[in-house]
Amino acid sequence: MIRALLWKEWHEMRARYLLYWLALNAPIVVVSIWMAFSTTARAPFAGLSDATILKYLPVALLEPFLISTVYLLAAGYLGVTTFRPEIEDRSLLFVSEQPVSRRRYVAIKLLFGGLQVTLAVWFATVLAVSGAYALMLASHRVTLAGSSGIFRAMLAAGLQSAVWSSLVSLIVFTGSALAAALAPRWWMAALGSIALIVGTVLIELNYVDFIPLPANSEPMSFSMNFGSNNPQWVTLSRPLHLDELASFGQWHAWPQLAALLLMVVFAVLVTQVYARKELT
Amino acid sequence: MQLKIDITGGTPIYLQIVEYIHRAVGSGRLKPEDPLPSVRQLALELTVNPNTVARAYLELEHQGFIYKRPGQGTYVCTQAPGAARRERNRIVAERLGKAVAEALQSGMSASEIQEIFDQVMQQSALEAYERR
Amino acid sequence: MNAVETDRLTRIFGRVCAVHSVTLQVPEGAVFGLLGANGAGKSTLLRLLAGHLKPTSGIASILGRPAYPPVPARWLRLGYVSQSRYLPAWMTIGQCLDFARAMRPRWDVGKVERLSRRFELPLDARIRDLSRGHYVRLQIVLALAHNPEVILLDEPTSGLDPAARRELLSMLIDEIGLRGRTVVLSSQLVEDIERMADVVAIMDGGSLVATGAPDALKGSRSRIECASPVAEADLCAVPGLVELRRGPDGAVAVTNEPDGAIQFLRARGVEAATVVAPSLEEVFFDYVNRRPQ
Repeated sequence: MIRALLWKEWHEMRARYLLYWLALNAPIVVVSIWMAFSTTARAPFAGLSDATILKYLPVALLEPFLISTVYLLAAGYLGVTTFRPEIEDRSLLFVSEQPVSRRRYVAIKLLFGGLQVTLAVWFATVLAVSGAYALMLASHRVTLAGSSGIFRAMLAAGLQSAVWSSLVSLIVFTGSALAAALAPRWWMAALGSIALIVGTVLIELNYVDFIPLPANSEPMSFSMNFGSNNPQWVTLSRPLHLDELASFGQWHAWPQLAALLLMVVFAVLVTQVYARKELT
Repeated sequence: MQLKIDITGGTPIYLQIVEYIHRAVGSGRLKPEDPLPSVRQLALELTVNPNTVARAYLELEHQGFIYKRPGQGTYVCTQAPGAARRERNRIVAERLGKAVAEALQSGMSASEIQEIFDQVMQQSALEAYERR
Repeated sequence: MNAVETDRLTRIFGRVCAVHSVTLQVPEGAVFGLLGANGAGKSTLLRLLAGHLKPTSGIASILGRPAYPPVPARWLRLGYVSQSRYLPAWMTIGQCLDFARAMRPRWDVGKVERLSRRFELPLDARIRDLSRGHYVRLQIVLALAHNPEVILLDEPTSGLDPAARRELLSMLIDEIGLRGRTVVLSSQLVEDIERMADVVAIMDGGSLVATGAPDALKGSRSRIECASPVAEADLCAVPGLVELRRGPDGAVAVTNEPDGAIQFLRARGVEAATVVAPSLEEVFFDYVNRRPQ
């Protein structure tokens, strides 16, 4: 029985899951293709070396930052479309006529969708860092021996942020699902989801360190040079120090637990609302 | 069976089935020991509720037209033609009774009615003879 | 035991009272016919029985348990054919049947195969592309495949041509023949109900205006016709008089005590009075007070 329900969920959501995975991994894919085919794109590696790698590799940490902010829209979209279409076309009634409780059905949807979100976030984070590193290795200006320690530190920072990013994405996913279950119209669900995302981002930026600089370290600035003649598309005033990286994406315990609790509350509410939803 | 159910009329369906069997037995279309379709078969044929057919069969059993052979189905009774004749006579008597009552109600005398009856009898016999 | 029962069941949508204080009993194994025009409340009543809607007041019970809130296990004993289309549009017929089968242990594979063949269901067709006829046949297969004890059908023959209607009804008869099946069937077509129902309920404006076996309902509206003119005073005094109708051929008394009426008239010297049983259609019009002009 569970298998049949999973099959149904997979069939209905697979296109959207694919979209989500693509969206999250888009930056590294786009950048890789661009670098593979454009000669000017190779120029940023002009000043690259084992010593300067810590100046450029942290750019890959833009990915978890995006996941926690802009890409929450994708998580919201996933949350709304996991539940709303069935209400719109009333095929929820078909599910109601099966000998399975609505709560179990909702649980399956949430778990399956939540799994997709979590896996995609972690994969994208790891891919961004590993992919950037692989490109740098391929430029032959960086050696494995000289930079592997830095890469490991980068990866650790990335994974640290992935914990928070996935939690926030899950909050948006379950919260949007709740909006979808509650709202009388689909566009109200979308608005609810967006409001949730904005609120989440504003609160989140208070509790998560995305700028890996402790308060009293030497100042650092960076500029983006896209579209200009400057071959380096990002210029940083100085490379990061390794210990500065440790604070990237670091989470504070209480906000994290609060976030987990919020996600659980959303999920439970979704099952309650969905169980009582009457389709006339 | 060539029975057709008339829904638009007021006669209950089960009664239509009963009357059809009466006529079929009376006219010899159904002979003693002839098998009848099962309740389910007839219900499917006529597209009616099997309970309706069951009720008709029960009535026919009461009237002595049909009987059930255990495990084998329903059959026409040997006494059925006699019962059919009695039933037919009863219906004719009823119809004639109504006609007479109507005539009396409208003010005709018994002898007038008798006269008309004789005329009708003669006419019908003549027509029957000419048809042969 | 009553397979289906309601007690003062009421459902209000905003300002509209779709079902008003309906009380009915459907004994086990009976075919219950719900007859009414569009908007009479038949669909809403069936949805209440299926547990899709919450009653505003009153209760409905199926197989001894309240219909709302619906318990998932009940769907193993209940089949429902709705009037609206909400099967997943992307599935094919085959996929839908496989899905439903995976959800139910008591799936009668042989029966489903038989019905699919008889209905000529195209297993590869997508549900969104199905005609009305194929769609309702799929609904029926889904509703009957697990051999439910109670089957609710909401106007299953609507939109079907006469041959398809016959086919569907005869398939239902096949199903009814099996002991213990209770059927609640709604229709706008008097003929369907007359053929199929053990008990008929006439609905109008959300209320149940009459219930009874078809013969009993017809009997409750017997017409007394007299070949010769009868004094209206006599007709007015007929026992069980429901209505006195004045037509071009004189007055006709409508009574629910036909035998008593005949005896009464005979006692008054009216010999040529006969009872004419109305058709179910005429009875229906009587009860909903909408006789075609």
